[in-house]
Amino acid sequence: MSARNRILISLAVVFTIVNILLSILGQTDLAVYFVINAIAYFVILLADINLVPRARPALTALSSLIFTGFLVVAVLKVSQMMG
Amino acid sequence: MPNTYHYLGISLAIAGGCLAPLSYFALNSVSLTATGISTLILGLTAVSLARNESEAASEACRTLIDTTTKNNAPVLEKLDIKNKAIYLPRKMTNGNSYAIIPIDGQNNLQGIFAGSRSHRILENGPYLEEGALVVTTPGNVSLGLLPNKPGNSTADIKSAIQHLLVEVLDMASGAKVDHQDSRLNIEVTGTQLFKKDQPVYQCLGSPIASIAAAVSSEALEKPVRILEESSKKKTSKIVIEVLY
Repeated sequence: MSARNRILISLAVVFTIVNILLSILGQTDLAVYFVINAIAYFVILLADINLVPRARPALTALSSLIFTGFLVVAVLKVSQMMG
Repeated sequence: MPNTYHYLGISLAIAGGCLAPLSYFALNSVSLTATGISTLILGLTAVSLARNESEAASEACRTLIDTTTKNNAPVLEKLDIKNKAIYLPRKMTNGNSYAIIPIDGQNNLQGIFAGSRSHRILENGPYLEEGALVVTTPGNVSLGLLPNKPGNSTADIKSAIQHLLVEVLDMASGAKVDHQDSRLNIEVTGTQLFKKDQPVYQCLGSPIASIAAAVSSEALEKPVRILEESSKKKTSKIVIEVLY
């Protein structure tokens, strides 16, 4: 299996498992879904990003976007707790 | 040029981009909104991955490598040479990547390295047997597919071998490298073998071993030789001896 296929299949499987599990557990906060999916995305990508060198700039841009969303969620949660 | 990954990615991104706001605002379902966001991320990832080499390019590279083996086979069989090829780093060969095969097997390597190159023969005296045959191997050809010269650490060698075998050529699924004294033990998993063992493999090694040897030589900037090669199921174990 090529690295590209491995990344896509891993992401699809992990996203599905995470969303189903959180849904079964009765989670209603969208931020929790987003944060866990984002962490799974970073872990999977970190393992294989060196094997797709030509796609790295585009993946880095996408990762930056997701990380920004991650930070926004974190800041909002912290400000809620502080307030 | 758009490929399967483009179409898959764009479809997923559009589906996810529509599902997320619809689920959030109209259906008021958090889990469906999360599924939409996940699908959008998956789609954008697929579009990003479409920028990597196409499978057609992998197939073309593999054909070129196979051709290199076929070009060397008649010469080696005609001269009945069965000695192991010595892979040389480009630093030692004025930038031209090639390997040499000592003709007599005596391995007077210092003399051979100091000899003068005449076409496909590296001369080391008046007798042909004292010289070496110059060959361009699959490994030497594939070095041109590396984005830059690999570093000399084990991790760099592993990364370069993985890049060539897994991503560019799609001939394996992974590689491990272990450096012990003057030996490199390389394990390549998920290999796709070209054909059954050919006589030429005895000199040059299989295409996978040849690539591993050429990368190791280039990374360590030393001549290397394939000592052993064995395959079991889809795993190839290659032992490379670093000379000098």
